[in-house]
Amino acid sequence: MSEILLIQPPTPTPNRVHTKDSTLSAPPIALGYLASLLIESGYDVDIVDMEILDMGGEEIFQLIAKERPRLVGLSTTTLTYKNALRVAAIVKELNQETVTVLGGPHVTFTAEEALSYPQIDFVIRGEGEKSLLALTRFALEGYGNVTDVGGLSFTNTDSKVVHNPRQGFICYLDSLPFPTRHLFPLHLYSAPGLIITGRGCEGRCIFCAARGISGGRYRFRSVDNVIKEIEVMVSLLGFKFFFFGDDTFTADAKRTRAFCQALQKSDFKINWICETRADTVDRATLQAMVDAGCKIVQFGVESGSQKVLDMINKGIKIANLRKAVKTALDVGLSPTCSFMIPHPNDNWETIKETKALMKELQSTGVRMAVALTTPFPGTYLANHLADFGMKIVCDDTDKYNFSTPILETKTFDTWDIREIYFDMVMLCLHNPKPSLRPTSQKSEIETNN
Amino acid sequence: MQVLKNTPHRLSEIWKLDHETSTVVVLGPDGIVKLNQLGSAIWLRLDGEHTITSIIGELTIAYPSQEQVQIEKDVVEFINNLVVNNLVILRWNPLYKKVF
Repeated sequence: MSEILLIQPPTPTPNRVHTKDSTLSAPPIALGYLASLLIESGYDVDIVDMEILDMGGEEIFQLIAKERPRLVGLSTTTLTYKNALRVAAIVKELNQETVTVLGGPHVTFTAEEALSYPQIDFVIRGEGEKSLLALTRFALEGYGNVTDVGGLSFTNTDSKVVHNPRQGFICYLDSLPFPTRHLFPLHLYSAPGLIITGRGCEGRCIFCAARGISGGRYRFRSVDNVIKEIEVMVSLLGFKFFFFGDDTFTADAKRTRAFCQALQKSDFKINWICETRADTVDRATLQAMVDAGCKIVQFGVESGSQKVLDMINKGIKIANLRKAVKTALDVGLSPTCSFMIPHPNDNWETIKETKALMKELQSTGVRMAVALTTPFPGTYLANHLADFGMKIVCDDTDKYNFSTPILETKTFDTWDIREIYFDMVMLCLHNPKPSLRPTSQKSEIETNN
Repeated sequence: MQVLKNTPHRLSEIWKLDHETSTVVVLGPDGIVKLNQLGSAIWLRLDGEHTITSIIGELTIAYPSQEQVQIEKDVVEFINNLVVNNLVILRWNPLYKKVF
């Protein structure tokens, strides 16, 4: 019996079972961070990742009935939001006294709406570690005052929603304990070696909420701290394959090179992949990454039209992207480029440019990925849809899965968007396989499973 | 029949309308699948909200020259085929377990 249960609700996407083998699955590491801090403070915590465990309503009902937690925390994205509400309803059905807390990107910007559901007691906005610990002390031990819990939203005795001031961001990330991993069924994930080396993003892309969630400035863990975590994961868990989940892994080129040098000096012999922006890499950095075991780097490209990129505040020139991709290929990396459609000022001509760039990059050995634009809460896009001539045609967040058209633009209706998306996915089917060309480590990509 | 109360949902959202024939083209797990006109009309309604009964009802109105019994038989048979080919989940519930 655990007094605190942290739950990752499953995605409601009908094909989640079918795509399990083809997509990269990683543990919900944010719950690992929350659990670490709570365990460090003496609480008995368990994590349930319903997605990877393939759990439905009945299974979670049975589990909660057995565990009888005093507090249940649910992590939500926009796609999993309604399932979080459904799980919370199950929690309350079993015991009205159990405290329910929602956190994560979606409710950070929609706390008031979430609190209109009777099964939700609290919402934590923004970075959750300190807030959840303070809330747990208050809710389970009566310690402190609810109005002093940073980033907390709740309904007061007058039935008014109260939003406490946001908790300040954790500036010194090394102060956090490493995320708890033993509570995840690591053998079930295709990429269990997820690791985060920094938080925040200085980009101002109109479609992204990262700035609003984790701040507009990069905050990095020290190289030593990250290396120490890798050492633990290699020696205790036997990991050989790592996935650096930072929004922009190479945000600070000097730090990236220092990290790569430290990794190369170690005896870990790991392979890894990361995501980044094309304007934050140069040859020396990419070479250092390859030398340290990096195999795949993903660039967020979004569009093949400079006019569109400028409009969405991507801050990248296509000429620089071409150069970054070419350099990545030259040094022996397998680049992946991700695109989004439709953007507010996309038209048939810009879509043609995007397809042309996709084909051009693909012909050089680059892999492609494409997703439908989704106006997530907290993004500039979501707050200015009408100004952009865009209209939501589906407000059921169960369908916000990057494949279902949920909006129209001034140029494209949902039928057009389906057609463009279909054609681009077909193009992606011709992707080259990840390059296994020998690098300095002379090893092929290995996963832990 | 119990089966008619099911709310089937497409397993692939990678599909489009063919402009010339106004029929649906789907990218399924085994490649491209081209549906005929009635199949396309059914596909558009496999959104996890329509029951099979309501799909039959709507198609009976859309195709008044066809007998309801025949439409019912065609719809059930077609959906079963889609299920067998991993293109549709028969009993969709957003908080579901692996049940087909």
